[in-house]
Formats: sequence, structure tokens, C-alpha cells
Amino acid sequence: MAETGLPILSLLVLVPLVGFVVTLAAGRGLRSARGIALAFSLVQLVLAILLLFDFLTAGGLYPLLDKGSGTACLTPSNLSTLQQTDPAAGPLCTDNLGRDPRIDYLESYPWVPSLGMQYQLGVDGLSLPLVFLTPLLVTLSIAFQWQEHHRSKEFYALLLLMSATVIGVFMALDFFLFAVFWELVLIPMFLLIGIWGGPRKRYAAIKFLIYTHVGFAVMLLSIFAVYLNVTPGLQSSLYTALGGSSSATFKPSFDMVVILRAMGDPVTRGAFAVGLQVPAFIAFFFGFGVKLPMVPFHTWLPDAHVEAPTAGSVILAGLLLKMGGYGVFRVLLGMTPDATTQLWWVLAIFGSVSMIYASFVCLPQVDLKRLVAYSSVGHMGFVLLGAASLNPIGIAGGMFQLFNHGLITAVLFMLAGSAKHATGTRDIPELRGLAAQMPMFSLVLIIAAFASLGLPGLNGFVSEFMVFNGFYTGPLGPGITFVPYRSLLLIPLTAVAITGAYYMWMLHRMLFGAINLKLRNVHDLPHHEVVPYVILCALIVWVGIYPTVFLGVINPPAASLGALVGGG
Amino acid sequence: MYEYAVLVILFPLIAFVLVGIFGKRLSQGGAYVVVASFVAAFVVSLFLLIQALQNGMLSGGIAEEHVPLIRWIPGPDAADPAEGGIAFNLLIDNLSVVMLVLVSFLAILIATYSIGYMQHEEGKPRYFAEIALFVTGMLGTVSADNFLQLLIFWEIMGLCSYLLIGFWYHKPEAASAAKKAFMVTRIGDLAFLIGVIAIFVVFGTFRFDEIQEKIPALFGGGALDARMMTLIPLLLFGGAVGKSAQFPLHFWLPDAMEGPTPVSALIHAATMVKAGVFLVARSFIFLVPTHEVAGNLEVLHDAVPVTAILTVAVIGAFTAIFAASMALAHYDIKRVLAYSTISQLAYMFLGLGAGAWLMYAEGEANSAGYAAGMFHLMNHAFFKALLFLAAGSVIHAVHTNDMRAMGGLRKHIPWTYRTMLVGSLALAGIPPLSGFWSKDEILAVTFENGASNNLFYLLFAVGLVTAFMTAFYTFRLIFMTFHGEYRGKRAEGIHESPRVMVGPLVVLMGFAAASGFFPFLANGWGNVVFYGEPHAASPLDAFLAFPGAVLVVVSIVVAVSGLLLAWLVYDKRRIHAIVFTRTETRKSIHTALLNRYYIDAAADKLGRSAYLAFARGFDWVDRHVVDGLVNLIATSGRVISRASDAFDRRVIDGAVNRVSLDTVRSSLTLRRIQTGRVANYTGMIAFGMALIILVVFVAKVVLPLFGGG
Repeated sequence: MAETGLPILSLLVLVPLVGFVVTLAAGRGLRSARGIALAFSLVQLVLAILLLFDFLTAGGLYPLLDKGSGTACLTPSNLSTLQQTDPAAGPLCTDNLGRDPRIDYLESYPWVPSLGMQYQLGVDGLSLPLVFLTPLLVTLSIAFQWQEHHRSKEFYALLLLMSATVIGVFMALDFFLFAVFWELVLIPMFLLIGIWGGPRKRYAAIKFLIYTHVGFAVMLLSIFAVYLNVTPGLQSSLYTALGGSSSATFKPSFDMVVILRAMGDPVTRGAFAVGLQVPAFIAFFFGFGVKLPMVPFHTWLPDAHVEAPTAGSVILAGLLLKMGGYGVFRVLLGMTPDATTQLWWVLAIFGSVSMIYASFVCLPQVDLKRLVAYSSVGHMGFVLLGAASLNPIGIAGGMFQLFNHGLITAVLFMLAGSAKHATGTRDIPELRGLAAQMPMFSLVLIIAAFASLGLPGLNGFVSEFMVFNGFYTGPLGPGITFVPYRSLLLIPLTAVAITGAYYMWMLHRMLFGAINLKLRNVHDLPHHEVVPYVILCALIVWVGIYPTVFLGVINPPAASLGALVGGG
Repeated sequence: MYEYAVLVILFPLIAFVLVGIFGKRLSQGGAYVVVASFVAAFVVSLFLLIQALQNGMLSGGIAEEHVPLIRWIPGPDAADPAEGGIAFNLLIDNLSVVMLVLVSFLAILIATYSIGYMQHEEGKPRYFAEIALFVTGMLGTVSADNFLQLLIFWEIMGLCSYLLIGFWYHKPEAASAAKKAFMVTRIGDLAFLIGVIAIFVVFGTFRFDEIQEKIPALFGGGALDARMMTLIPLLLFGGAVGKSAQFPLHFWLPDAMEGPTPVSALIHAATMVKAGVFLVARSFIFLVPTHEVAGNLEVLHDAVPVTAILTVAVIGAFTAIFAASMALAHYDIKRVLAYSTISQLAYMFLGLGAGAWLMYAEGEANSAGYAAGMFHLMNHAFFKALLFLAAGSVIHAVHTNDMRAMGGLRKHIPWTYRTMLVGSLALAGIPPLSGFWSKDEILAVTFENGASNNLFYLLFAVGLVTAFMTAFYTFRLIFMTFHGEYRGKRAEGIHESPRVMVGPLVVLMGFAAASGFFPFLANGWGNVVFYGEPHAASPLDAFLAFPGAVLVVVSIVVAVSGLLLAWLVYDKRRIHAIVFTRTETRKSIHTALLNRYYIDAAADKLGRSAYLAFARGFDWVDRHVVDGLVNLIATSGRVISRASDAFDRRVIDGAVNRVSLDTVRSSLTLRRIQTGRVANYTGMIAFGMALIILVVFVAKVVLPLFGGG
């Protein structure tokens, strides 16, 4: 609620939303539609960069952006469901353990107070990289798929709608709003696959819709359980901790800040005991796991990717999967910490199985897009493993993996698009010896493949290394120890070798050897494709060499989550 | 004090970026920029060396200096990111200074040679950019101040090695060799990675100096028991085995010869493959953990991982003889050199292993084996780079790798012959050339260890046999290539390489001949590279004292007899080469050697088929079981909804339609009731309400009474 500054969080949602309407209304044909869409997307990107800059400089854009004004800290007055205010309690920036469960930017307005709903958007170190990634990938997707002649107006408009809804998921800090955005995301993606997709688009689109919707429905159970059964108690205990009288009673609330804040503190956590957390954990985990996706709930992903248009694939893998990962950290770890501490092995098993299983499945794939899709499943396993580590470094690695995988997989899916565009096929055996004919394409493919297989110096390595490092270090607090499992913990590491192998084989088959004679006249990348590649590869290299900037953003929430679930 | 050291890495990196982007527009594809950057890096390294010498490098080593590079992972606390984070620094100590000078110097020579060798190649910018990136990686590796940083630069080298082996990517063999090299070394890297993580789990840091300090305090505690103390160096050694092509991960290196010859010289002989040896040298802090007692480094006797030390020594000795045996039979000039490289690297590992044992046995820091290993590393870098470059010059002249199609070349390419001859003498261990000194030191230390562990007598014998084989295959190569009659197709047109190629050969020849004397300048190589007080005698004393003097004589005799045998067989032809394949047994041995003991084929087949079978199996499960289940659920959902749809249409809607037909009919009759008067409507509503209430009543109250609902 930046009273004096720009309401930047709302703008981040509104700009693409307005862009969606304007593109639909004013777009006449390809040229105007893509121009309008790109303009709106760029504005959103600039806003996101401003936000990032302000965050990194600790409020350097004041008074344009104002993160002060009491929003950063939780006080009785901005506990919007609290009826009375108690100024004597003062701002509460640290909890009883001296930690800092801070939501750095918060915009909160009452919406349906009687039902405990508010329009509440917030950004902290966990969501900020994803908030930056969203407009970045959407903008680059628009630039990449610059020549969509088929129903261009709707195509570019839907990409903007996509952007608005996804960024909404990453920022919503009210469960109702969160659920609304979560479901809204499905619509543009369903249409993108269903209208601009390949030959089996209907099957893929419906599979995608139903599968993720079922995941959502199960998750919704947990949301309602938390809403009805837990939030009044949490608010009450929080209120007591803030200095109010203990006799006050509260209505159910969807306010995620209140839940996070109350769960962040062992004193106020009492109303949501482990016994209640475990069922909520399971349902949430299913919902997020389908979205992530993890084996065995992953089969919607390859089909959706194979059929989706390039821009759709980029956003699907780059952003939609991240919703699941974001949910794991925000909700599973943040709101059911005790259950996570007990059930870390569930996350670890699903994560490891995803990593190894998907890496093996990658190898025999013929369709380049299918291969990349499976590799995404494997890489999302790292996210689960990071969460399972119960260790600050591991959790930071898992969060960072979301961002890094977003960059890498965007490049890989774009490359699949480029290959199809240049040669008319994505079948790896057909694409022999491209290095001679398409040197730029080959260079980008090599960078992306090595980043994805975790070559040090590129960004994938940083997060993967952090995940492993955190995982083997284990929780820092007393009482929980990974030592008995240590030799089992080595199993997921084999995925690194398998991943290396299938990428090596892919490069070998696609780029090297004598060229397929049918492809002797293919052209290298067109200009509008080069721009996104340059930007993304530059980020991949930069983040790989100097991850410090983003880790500085990610580390504080990872540290407080690590302390929450792992003690110490 | 050494802040400018960052420039060493920066210069080649800038050259990489420049040539990578603008290479096509630069003359010679950016070759001059790259060479200039290496020269700059060399000058900076020399400055470092001089400064280190001034700071007392030769008397007990300089104080380690950590030059900050970047803060890689900030700590969790935003206010104090230095706390608990991971920072990268350049480490300036004796070993790294020497390595920086050595690497940058070799890089200059080999890059210069490349200008001539790659003259007519397409893709020169790519070549030189990758060489520049590689040198950045190697310089970064040797100046890393912690294991993670070492791993990162190490992998960058691996990437460059992959790209450069596959430089002629259109050749299927080259592409396969590149893939193989990357995959096989990556198996070792995986062990290395686990080792690095284990280090962090135990010590909470990656830095060499901090680990060294922490071992005495942590040992015996919960996190660092004897098992862990053995495991960590073994895992690190796993990385070294991959990178330095030791048994059982040796088989990528001969195939890597598909790359351009200067690449073989630089990466696969002089520098990258040495990184494994360097890593083992750095992991001496684990192999022989020490603590300081009154200014002296004393060995923590209980903490010494004896198994790890013996593993290093035994793998070294075994690989030495194993690789040398394969070099005996091959005809490809570069492959013979590749096997020789594996064998010589193994010698260095033997030296390091023996050195670690020596320190363990004596209980105090003793540089003898350590220095011998690192001394051999330097000497080998010179003479093996020389041999490869000379071999490249031969290939340049005759356009084949096959020694059977050579012969008598000394008349055509005299400078290549002269330089290669000196390199071969050095490799064969003929005094006073460089190889003799270091090889002899390694053997001497190994023999000395025999007193405390008889196993080392065996290793010494293996080393001696290897020395014989080395002399034999080296001169087999020389005689087959340069002596006798030319066996190729056309002798005319064979000419000496251009000056830009011969120049580096001559310089390297000088070093290959003279580098054996470097320790005399420093009163023992231990003073130059060792991390503590060396406690080693000066080289001459060591040679002259018993049993050193006897050993020297023995090793000279062995080397010379190997040389003589090669001379008799391949030059004088007193003994015909047929003797090696005359009987069935000998023939099968020869075939086995040519087929590299069938390990390649087996590993290839096994790895590929097992891996593919696994992958295909998983893929099948995914398509048919996991996805099949999903589709089954979807199909059954569709069947159920079809059924309910039919039920809905026929039964329920049928009933509704029936009712509605009646409604229409009755409404026709009821139309007159529609009077437009409110009261009437009110009555109708009341009637409707009553009907609903009746239905609800029936459903909720009446039906339960009958046990339904």
C-alpha cells in the first residue's frame, strides 16, 4: 500500500490486462496487434525492472516507489481483518526469534470484508525473481513469435492476459485472489494450445486443462480447510502476541500474510498444529505437484508442449511450472512448516524420482520439444529436493532453480521453435549436422544445453549446486538429522550424469557429423529471433558467473524459511 | 600485495570475448589478439613470480595471499553478506605462481604454433576463441583458492576440451571423441562434485587454508571420522582420474587425438590433463593432514588416510605400465603419444602417492615425493608439448598419422627431427635431459618407501619396467618416423613447416633439454612448489647418496637398453618386428594391445546398451503405464459421462420432456388464467412455493421413513 508512491504491484497486473483489452479492441491485423502487445509488455517489464532496482538498492527509487509506510512490517492496523487497532503494540518487524518475516512490498485493500477477503498483493525475495521473469519471458516470446499470422490479434492479446494472470499468482497474498489468478491462468493457456497448437492440439489442451484443474480442486480443499478452521485461531494468537486482549474472537480470513506471519512464529503457531497441517500439506502438495509437475503426475506436460506454439511453450515451461514451485515455498514450507519438517522425505522422494526418471526418459525422445519438456520435469525435481533439504542454502537453491530454469528452458523451447521454423521438423534424427549450416543456432543450443546440464560458469550449476549442498548439509537445527539417510541422499546426484549424457547425445545427433542433405539450404536464425536469444544467453552467463545479485534477493526469505522448517 | 594477479585471468578472458564476437573481422581470425593476451598473462605471471621470489619463495614458501575475485554466494544475512557466504579469491602461493608461469608460457608457444598449423582452416575465430577460454580456465584452476572454484574452472576446461576435440565437427570420429571425452571425464567430475559437497558438509568452507586449519580440531569428532577422512580425498582423486585419464577412466584420451594437434599438445598433454595431478597436490591437506608444532608442520598420524594414499600410488603405478604397454603396439603417431601421456601422468600420481606415504612414514613435512611429482609435471609439460607439436609438424608434412606410411623423414624435415629427438630423449629418461631427473626422483622416493611398506618395492619395479617400455616405444616412434626409407606414396612435396611452427619447437627443445636443471637453481624443487619447509636434500646430494646413486645407474641402464632394443628392431633391423607377433600367444597379446585390451569396446557397448535399455524402458513405462493410466482415467470418465448423458437424455430429460409436453398442453388450457392481476400471480407463487415445500418435505422426511434418500 504505497500511499505516496506508485501502486506498482497493481500496475504490474493492470498494465497487461489493459493491454489485453486494447489489443483485442484496437488490433487490426498482425502489425498493429503485435506492436500494441509489445508496447504494453515492455511497460510491464520496465515496471518490473524498477521494482527489482528499488529492491536491490533498498528503496533507492523513493519517492517514486515507497516501500515504507508501515506495509513492510505487520502491525495491528494493517492486519486488515482485525477490527481494533492497538497502537501501543507498534510495528512488528521481527518475530519472537528475532527473524524477519518481511513482505517487502504490500498493497492491501479491503474487498469483501465480511468474508475475510482482501485485494492484497505483495512481493518479497521469493516472488521478486519470478515477478521479473514473467514480463521478461512474455516480452521475449512476443518478439520471438513476431510473425503469427493466424488470428494475430487474439494471439498477442492472450499472451498479455497470460502475463497478467501469472504475475497475479506470484503476487497475490490473499488465498481467494491467489485461487482466482491460479484458475484464470488456465484460460489463456488452454486457448493458446487449443487454437494455435499442432495436430493433436485438442487432446493436449483438454488434458492440460483437466489435469491442472483437478490439482487445483484438491488444493482448494486445503484452502478452505485453512480458511475455515485455522485462520480465526491464528489471528487470535497473533493478536494476543501483538498485545491485544486474549478474549477477542475473529472471523475466517483468506489473508496469507496473517497466516504466514502467524506460522512463522512458534508462539503464535498453536492454532494450526501438526495434526491439522499434515492433511493440508498433502492436498497442497498434490496441487502444486501437478503443476510443477512431478512424476507421476507429469504426463500432461510433454503433450501440452509438443502441441503448443513456441510462445506458449516458453510461457508454459518458463512461468506456469514456476507457479507450482512458488506454491511449494510460499504455501507448503511457509504455512505448513511442521508438516514439512516431518514429511521432507516425501518431497525428497518425489523430487529424486522426477530427476532420475525424467532424465532417463529424455534420452530416446525423437521430438526436440518432448525432450526439453521431460528435461523440465527433471529440473523441477531439483526444486522439490531444495525444499526437502530444510536448509537455507538448499531452499535458496530451489528458489533460484525456478528462476534459472525459467531462463534456460525458455531458450531451449525457442530453439525448438527455430529448428521447426528453419527446417520444418523438430525430429532430432532428421536434424543432422546443423553446425555447418546454422552456426548461430548451434552456438545458442550448445550454451543452453550446457547450462541445462549444469556446467559451472552457467546459471544452472549455481542453483543445482546449492540444492545438493543444502541437501547434504541438511537441517541446521537440533533434533532433525539427515545423517542416517546420507548414503541414500546420493541417489539424486546420478541424475546429473544422466542429464549430461542425453544432452551430449542430442548435441551429437543434431549438430555434428555430415549434414542431412535435405537441410543444405536452411538459413540461420532471423533477426527477430536473435534478440531474445542474446538477452537470455547474456542473463544465463551473467547469472552463472555472478549470481550474487539474485541470491541477495533470494537469500533472506530462504534463510527465514530454512530456520522455520529446519530449526537453527 | 598481489592485487594485479586478477589480470592473469582477465587478459585471456577479454581475448575470448573479443575474438568470440569480432573474430571474423580480425586478422588471422583473432590469433594475434589471443597470443598477445597470453603474452600479457605471462608477463603478469612473471611479475608475480619475481615478487614471490623477493618475498622469500625459496626459503620456506611465501605467505599465502588471497586476492578477492567475486563474492559468489552471499550469506543469508542481507546486512552482512560476507558472513556464511562463498567468495572466490585468487590464491597466490608457491605452487600457483609456478603453475601460472608455466601455463601461460606454454600457451604462448602453442598458440603461436597454431597460427601456422591452422593457417588454411575454416573457423579459425572459433578455434582461437576457444583456446583463449581454455587458457582462462586453466589459469583459473591453478590459482583457485578453494575446491569449488577449482571445480568451476575445471569444468570450463572440460567444455573447451569438448569443443576443441570436436573442432572438425563434420567428422563423425571427432564428434564421437568429443562426446566421449566429455562424458567419461564427467563421471570423474561427479565424484569430484560429491567430494566438494562432502567438504562443505564437514568443514563449512571450501578454502584450502581453512580446511587445513580445521582438520586437527575436527578430527575424531562426529563429522570427521576416519571414514570421511578417507572418502574425501578418494572422491577428489576420482575427479583427477577422469581428468588425467587414469585407469579405469583412461580411454577418452587416445580418442581425443581427433582434435587439431596443437589442441592435443596444449590441452591433452601440457595443461588440462595435468589439472588432475594438480588437484591431488592440492588435496595433500587431506592425504597428509598436518598441524603446526613450534613452527614445524607435523603429520597428524591417526588422521592419515592410508588407504587413499595407497590408492593414488597403486592406480598411478598400474596406469603407468598399463598405458605404456598399449603405446608399444600402436601405429598412430598421436595415439602413441597419448598413451605415453597417460603413462607419464600416472608416474606423477605415483610420485605424489609415494610422497604422501613418505610424509606419513616420517611424521613430518617432507617435500621429496610431492616435489618429484610436480617436477615431473613441469618437465613433462615441456617435452610432451614439444613431442606433440613436432608430431603435428610431421602430420603437416605427410598428411597422415600412420607411422607405417612414414619413415626416413629426417632428410625432409630436419628441424622437426632434431627437436623431436631431444623431446624423445627427455621422455625416455636419458640424462642429462629433463625427463631423467624427475623420473629418477619419483623412482627414488618410491624405493625409499619400500623400507616402511614393502608394496612400494613392487611399485618401484613396475615403475622401472615402465621406464624401459617408455624408452622403447619412444624410439620406436622416432625410428619408424624419421629413419629408414620413406614408406608413403610420394616423397616429393614433403617440406619443413613454416617458421612460426618451427620457432616454438626450438624454444620447447631448449626447455625440454634444460628444465631438469631448474631445481639446482633453487636448491631443490621442493623449495619452489612445496607448501611448507621442504626438508629435502638438494638434488645432487640426493643423487649421490646411497641408494640414490645405485638407483640412478639402474634407471639409466634400463632407459638405454629400451632405446637400444628399439634401435635394433626398428632402425638396424637386427631383430625383425615379426618376433612380436610370431606365435599365437604373442599375436593375441599384440591384438589385445592394439584393441586397447578391449576396454573401449566393452565400455562403449556396455554403457551404451545398458543406458539405452534403461532409457527405453523408462520411456515405455512413461508412455504406456503412467500416461496410459491417465488416459484410462480419462476414457473411463468419458464412458461414464456418455452413460450418464444417455441416462440424462433418455430417462431424466425424457421425463422432463414428457412433463413439459403436458405443461404446454395444460398451459394452453391455462392461458385464460393469465389474467394480469397481481393477486392471481401471488396465488400462483404461493402454489409453487407450496409445491417446492412439498417436494422437499417428501425428500427429507417421507423418503427417509421408507429408508430411501
